[in-house]
Amino acid sequence: MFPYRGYAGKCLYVDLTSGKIETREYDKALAENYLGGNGFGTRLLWENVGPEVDALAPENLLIFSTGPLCGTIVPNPGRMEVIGKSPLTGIYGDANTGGFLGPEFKFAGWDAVVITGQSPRPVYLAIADNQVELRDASHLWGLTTSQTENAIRQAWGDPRVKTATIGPAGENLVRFAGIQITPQRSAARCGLGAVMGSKRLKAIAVRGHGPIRVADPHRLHKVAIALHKRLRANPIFPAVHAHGTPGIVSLMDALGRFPTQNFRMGSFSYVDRINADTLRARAFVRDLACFGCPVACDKLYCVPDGPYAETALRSVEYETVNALGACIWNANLDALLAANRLCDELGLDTISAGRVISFAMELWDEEILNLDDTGGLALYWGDMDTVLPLLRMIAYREGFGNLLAEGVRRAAQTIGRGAERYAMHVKGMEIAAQDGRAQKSMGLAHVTSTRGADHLKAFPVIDETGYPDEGRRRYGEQYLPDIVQPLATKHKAFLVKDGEDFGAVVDSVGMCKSGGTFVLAEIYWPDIAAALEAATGMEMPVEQLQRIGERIYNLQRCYNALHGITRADDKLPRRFSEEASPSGNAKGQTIDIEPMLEEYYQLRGWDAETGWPTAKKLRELGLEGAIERLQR
Amino acid sequence: MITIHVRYHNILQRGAGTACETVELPDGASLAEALRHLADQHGAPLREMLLGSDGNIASYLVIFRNGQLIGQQQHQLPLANDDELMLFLAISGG
Repeated sequence: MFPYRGYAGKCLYVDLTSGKIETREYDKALAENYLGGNGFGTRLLWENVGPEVDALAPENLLIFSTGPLCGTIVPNPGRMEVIGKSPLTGIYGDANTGGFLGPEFKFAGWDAVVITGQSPRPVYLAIADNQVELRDASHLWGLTTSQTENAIRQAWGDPRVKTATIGPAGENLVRFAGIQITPQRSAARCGLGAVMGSKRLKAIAVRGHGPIRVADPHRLHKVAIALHKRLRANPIFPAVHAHGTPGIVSLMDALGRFPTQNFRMGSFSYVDRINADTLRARAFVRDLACFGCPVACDKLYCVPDGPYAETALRSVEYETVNALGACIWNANLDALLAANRLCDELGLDTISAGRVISFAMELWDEEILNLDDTGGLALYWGDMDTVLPLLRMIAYREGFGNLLAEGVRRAAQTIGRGAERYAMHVKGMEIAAQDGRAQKSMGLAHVTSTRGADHLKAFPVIDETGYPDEGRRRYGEQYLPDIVQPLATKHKAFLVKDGEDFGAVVDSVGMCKSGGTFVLAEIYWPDIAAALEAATGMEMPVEQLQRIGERIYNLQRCYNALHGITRADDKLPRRFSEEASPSGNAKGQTIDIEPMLEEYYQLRGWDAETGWPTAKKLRELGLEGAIERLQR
Repeated sequence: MITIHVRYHNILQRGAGTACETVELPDGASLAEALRHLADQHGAPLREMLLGSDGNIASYLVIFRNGQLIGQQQHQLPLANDDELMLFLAISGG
């Protein structure tokens, strides 16, 4: 009997090659040392998928993993993780999603689903409480994500079925294909949709009716209510609720942090045409929320008229407004929404999709690409009549789209002729919408992230605006004012390390980074420790929780070290250190990563030469097995 | 008298009832005086977004003057004719 509450206590192991489905009890030691979610997947990947395994080979794992707070009453408990080796980067990969799928897994009685192998034909995994089976999906193969979701719901006769589906991009092994999650959320990054496609797994469908039992309902209720109250009392809460993540578009633009024309600039001349106020005025229909979320940052939008009339979608995020807007010099909001919707339907990560296109547009502008290279496509900045068909060509790997489907790193290597200078990536992952010249902590976060360029591992949001309250609330007076200044480098190594460790825990318990843990900075280590104790019955002193976060992050770094990653890979594209930002508050700024990185390794206890965790650090974290494996 | 231009973002727009406006202030008026003037002109709820309960500029207000981020120690800076202020709440993320 699994001893801890908050967990369903069991996992599904599915071998798609043999069709065997097995139920295993959740590993007690894994729960104690890695919590669940991100930590659970990290440990399994470490143990089972070595450097010899190609990300698209049957031996790669695809792990859908919830955490012990997922589906409970704490604020924003709707998140779950998908983990596997990334076909985009060839190293550790994960993607996090909101919505309702994670809680539904728990209601059905499962903490995680671990998938291996490759099915001989397209299938989908149907989970109805304890009834689990692989069903034929030949009729679904080729459908878009919403078509697939609707077909499964119709077949089940239950509109409340939650799904994870891939679209044509995943089927065609586009290296940045995402997984679309009910309702129109995405586990987008790292190309895990291609891993799903390589396994010929079109979808997972889940319906659950069971409870989530917690250890101390009264204590959990008290903790949760206090957190809900704190969130609602935060003076920024109404602004986060009103516009969601697009609410920061104009602010980031003013800071010079809003990548424009493939990071040539950090501000967009036409930002007012695509910012949150315009988006709301043009297309807002109503507020929406993920499971159990008081913030309700999600919105339903619909283009009312014009060539893209009736394009309806939700989950329009800051990142997508940038990737399919400023970064490709597109000021047509309706076309941006249509491109967002198209990416969702095709199953493309909007960040990477936008970045491969902005990369190609800059190459065109620099006359590195011509019509012969592109198969007759002229790639002018902001030309959405080209962008929309090009997104399809990427998803179906047609013509020039086949090259872009490989991501910017591989595409640049294939093109040659100096193209690599314009490939904005770290370790193969396209950089999201934070210009490190304008916010130095984000530059560091991009290079130290364990999944390649990524803002969300460290998510150092408290120094975006120079606003001191969040920094003070989180760290006291000790690090002020530098820690909240976007252009300062002092204390940023500390900020990034703390964010990475805390973020690993947030992603492992099943909470959201935009709903209080990072954005709003209301929920921190002691709050999650208290919620975990109440939900699970584990003893969880704050120091132990911090150690778990550090353990997870170090193991991810070890996994990447096994794959040949060293300090030499912890670098930004040359543009950021050689070309001064021409924009906004960052005008004249470059970024020098090295001093921050040096301090970061020191704080981490990592070897400054290799960038690997030292034996001492690994022993301290109970990762003795990793020492031997790295030495080999 | 000087003339300054003010642009409101996010829910500040709702509070002000407009996206931008031009206002006249006495010569030598400081940033803090400009914001108090705006609060007086528009009343609640803009006042509650611009000023804290102590009547000082709210610590969660982010201000750009002519494209440059203004620190909280600079609220007494005198404004110049034709200055542009951009006002945001300190919302982060993404």
